[in-house]
Amino acid sequence: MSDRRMPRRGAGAGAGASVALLSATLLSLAALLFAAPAEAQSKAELSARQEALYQDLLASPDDPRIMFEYARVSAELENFEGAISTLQRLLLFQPNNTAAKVELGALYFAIGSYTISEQYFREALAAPELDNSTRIRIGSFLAEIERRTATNRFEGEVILGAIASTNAGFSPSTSEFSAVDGGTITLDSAEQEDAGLRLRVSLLHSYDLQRPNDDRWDTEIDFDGRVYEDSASLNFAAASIRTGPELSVDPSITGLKVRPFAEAGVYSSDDRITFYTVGGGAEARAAFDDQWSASGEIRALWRAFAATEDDQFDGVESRGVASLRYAPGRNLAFRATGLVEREDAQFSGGRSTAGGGQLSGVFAYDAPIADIRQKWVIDVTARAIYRRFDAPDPEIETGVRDQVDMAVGASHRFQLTEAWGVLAEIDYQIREASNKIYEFRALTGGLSASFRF
Amino acid sequence: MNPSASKLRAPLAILAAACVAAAAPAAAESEIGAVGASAPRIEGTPPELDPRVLETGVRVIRNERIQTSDSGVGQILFDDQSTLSVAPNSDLTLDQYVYNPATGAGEISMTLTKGAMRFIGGRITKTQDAVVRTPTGTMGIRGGMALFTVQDDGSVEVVNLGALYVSVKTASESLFLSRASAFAVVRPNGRIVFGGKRDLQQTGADFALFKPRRGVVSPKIATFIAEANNTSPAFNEAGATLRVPVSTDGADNDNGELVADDFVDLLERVIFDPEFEVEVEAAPPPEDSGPGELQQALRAVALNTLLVDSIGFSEAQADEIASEYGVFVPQSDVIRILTSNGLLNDQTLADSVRWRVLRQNGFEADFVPNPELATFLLDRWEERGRPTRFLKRVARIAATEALETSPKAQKAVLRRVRKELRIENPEASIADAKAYVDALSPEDRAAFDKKARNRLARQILNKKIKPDLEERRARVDDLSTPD
Repeated sequence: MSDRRMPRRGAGAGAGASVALLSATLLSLAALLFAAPAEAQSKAELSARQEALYQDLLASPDDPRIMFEYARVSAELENFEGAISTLQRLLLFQPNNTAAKVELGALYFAIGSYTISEQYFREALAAPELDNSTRIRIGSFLAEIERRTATNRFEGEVILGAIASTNAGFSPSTSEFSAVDGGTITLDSAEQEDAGLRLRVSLLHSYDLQRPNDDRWDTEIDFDGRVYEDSASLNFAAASIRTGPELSVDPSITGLKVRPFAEAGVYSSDDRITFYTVGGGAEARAAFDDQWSASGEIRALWRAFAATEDDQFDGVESRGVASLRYAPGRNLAFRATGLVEREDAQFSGGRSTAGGGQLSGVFAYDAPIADIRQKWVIDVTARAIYRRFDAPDPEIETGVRDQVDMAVGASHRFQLTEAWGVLAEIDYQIREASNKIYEFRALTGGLSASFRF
Repeated sequence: MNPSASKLRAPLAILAAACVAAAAPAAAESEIGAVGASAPRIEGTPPELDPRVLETGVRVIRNERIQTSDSGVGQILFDDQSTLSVAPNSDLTLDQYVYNPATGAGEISMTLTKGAMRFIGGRITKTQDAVVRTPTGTMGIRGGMALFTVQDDGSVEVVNLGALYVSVKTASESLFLSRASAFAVVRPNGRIVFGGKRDLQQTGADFALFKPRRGVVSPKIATFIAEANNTSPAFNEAGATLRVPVSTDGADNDNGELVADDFVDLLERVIFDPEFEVEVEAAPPPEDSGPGELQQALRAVALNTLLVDSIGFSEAQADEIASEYGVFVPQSDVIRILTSNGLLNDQTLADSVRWRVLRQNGFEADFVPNPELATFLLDRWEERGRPTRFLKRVARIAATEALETSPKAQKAVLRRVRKELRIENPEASIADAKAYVDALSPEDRAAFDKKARNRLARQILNKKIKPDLEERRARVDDLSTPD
């Protein structure tokens, strides 16, 4: 994508705050990394405990104390099969034990076996002695089961809130630069603080292909828009749609899945449509075990600018992304992502090759408020992308441009109910370039309400 | 006993023990798991040995053949944490089993020739398929659960209950089921027909395959229940189980929550579930012709336990209340009767013993013989806060009595029926409702009566209905408050 539209005018950002944020983000990521061994050790200890309990069970299969403890440890280890087999054995002793059926419903739900989960829940509901609060909770599970087992499934999220940035237009700190011919280039804008509203909408339609596996046809629609208070020229919006079937290559439910897709998008800035994209590609994902998984994507998009004077930037964006995910426990996960990208355009200064990577960590914990039965999630990310252009822009530079985009960010999702939550985000971006006209720093923060459906 | 015979027995016993000890290592090597449950019983035939009854806890042997009768269900626990449930009228053989506990790797295979089995994979199936051979094809299970049923026509039905995949192979075809509830039928000619997803009705039928007619006999569980009460440390310790987050989205880790807030509830239901049944051979069958001596003793134990342990009366108060309601039996007589019936062996009536006796004999003794006493217990129990399962049973007894004797209660039931009828016929009368009820088949009538009784019991629990027993209550007012 062209950088010519980025530089404007303005003043410098607070360097002290930036360094502090950068440090805090990296420290947070490091803290999550250090938490991984502890999580793994805890899992190993639980696993050893589970094995010891199982040996006790083999000696005394009908000892209810061992049964309950084994079921508890198994569920904590996410070895739901162990808990299921134990509670099913309890039902051999007590065929009408309603509470065991409720637990089995939840356990089968946890492994995605929804019909069996529903069967257990409905058997439990048929018991007249079941208390009302459990009935209500079962009702919410049944509603979710109905949604998840529908042939056509819709889900989405709307995020609406306030946003503030030290550099809303990602512009350089000054508006005046030396031109190649010795003159001066004066940009119409530079770094500019601003605040406004942000709206992000994600929609997913999933169509069950009714095959012996989980193959489905997914269609995603995304919209992201920002409206600023002081300067309408900084307003930005992007909408895209991607559709394609996810198909199993490997027979295992966690095995290799491939998804060819078609994609189209439209982007606007300054309240005008800037360019369109259309293209396609393929995604792939696979899990190696219960901790490691990988995903990747290749795609190519034809990009066409709306204004005729920008025709020279029409071209093709090609991208390859590969990610490796490590989840040492149910509440902690890390992802390392590598990226290569090639942009081609009629204008030689608009052609570039980029490569980079991103590290992210996600930590989920129980909300510390008694009445909120949700997980709250902290997400920390750091990324760096190096880009080299094929040729200089003859108007403003003599040599080939190199630039590095770096960013660190963190978000905290305070989920209040299944549907409603609050999202706090902060993000610091820096671009270092061989030509100062392309450099910028921006600290952006947002506070939004989110609604999931 | 003949002294010379006694002298002979000792060396013979030593010789026998030596033989058993010599054979033990070989047997241990071929042991692959244990019987987790057996209801009422399942049979096993180890290779080259006679059939044996597989009681709970008995070790099972590699190549052992497992058979069940038309009422037998059971569960086998393998050393790698795999489990196998066997339905009635089933016949299967545990073929190959190799397990290395150090690595978690191994092999497991079995042959199902008749009936149905449900397999839940343990450590081995995380890296290796468990193999199930059937008359029509060979199946593999990786990481999860599957159900196999041999049909009368020789077809085999395979259901993925939640496995990474279930492979189905015949000489000519193969299919992978890698979504929960997906199923396939393997025809005798080797054709594999994908059946789609199991619906709720089919899943219910699958469940019914493994439902025992009655609970498994387990003295350990009976003792646990007998000893447990909701204030004992052991109870609370066990009550902490399963209090872990369970994801609500099946795969990821967000928004996890557990259905049952308090697992203590589960244990309480274990204790107070009126459907719970434990068989004890020594217990005589209930007598049809009114309560006999044993029933009277059990009723006295139950009432005393309720009044003293659960409500908090003193022993003297409890005896007086029992006398007032005509169910008092002196403790010395209770001990004598229980001992002579094989229910006591230490001549004491400790708390744990009392609960065990009650549980082992079920509540068939009907320890709350009349609605007056039921109401009295209800009133006392109100002070304990939420209703317990035990209290609900008391309410049901009172409701049964009211429905049999109270015209007001009977009319209330008919009014409810009339309300239902008026959905179809706005002119429906009480007489129509009565005619409707009278026309019910015996089975439907029984279900109707049960529903009406439960509804009335709930109303009693919610204090919407209270039998008028003021006169009786006045006589025990001075006993109404525990010391």
